[in-house]
Amino acid sequence: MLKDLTFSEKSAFIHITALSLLLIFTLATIWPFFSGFEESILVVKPLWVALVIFILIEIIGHSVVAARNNKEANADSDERERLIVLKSNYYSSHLLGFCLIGYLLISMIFQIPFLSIYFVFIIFVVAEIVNYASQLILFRRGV
Amino acid sequence: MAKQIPIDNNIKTLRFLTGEMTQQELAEQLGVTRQTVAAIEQRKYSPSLEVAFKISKIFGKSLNEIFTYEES
Repeated sequence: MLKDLTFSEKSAFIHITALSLLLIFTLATIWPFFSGFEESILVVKPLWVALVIFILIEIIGHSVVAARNNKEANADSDERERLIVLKSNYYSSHLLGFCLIGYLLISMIFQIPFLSIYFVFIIFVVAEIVNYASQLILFRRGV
Repeated sequence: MAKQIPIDNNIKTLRFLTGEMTQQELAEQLGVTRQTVAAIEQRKYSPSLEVAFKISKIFGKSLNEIFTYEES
């Protein structure tokens, strides 16, 4: 099945995989907070470990895919690809804006005493996953 | 799952009649990727006017002879 995918689709797939792992790591980090151990959130686990793994997956994944599809990887994007990226960015930016503003409003209205970097980070990662998932769908379904 | 645009075309036939031109060859002449030519043929993508005019010029046909609008 992977052989049928184009370079752009494989690239989007790598982004989704790397971002999903980053999301799982972040959720696992903050999970104790929801389980009632509020003090555990104060122990800031190093997100940089997840970020390093994320960057490594991106570099290795894209290097392998680019080496196998070097002609496509070096080609400029055409009008259809640019339209797909534009549409995907439109969806993800709306989600990002809506969730961030919503989170800020809920924090203010309900006097939530923290504005955790983790929540903002999760919203950003989810928006990026939506971005690349939209690209994958639009590449397959048509735009 | 595949979404079809209301504009039909006969590019595949025209390619065949023009020395069995491949999608890749047409894509190179148009300055787009092979996937975009495939998407146009399968009615998954509506090309820009610029690309449509280029297709018309390559095959020596008018736009009406290549593209037809199908009202649902």
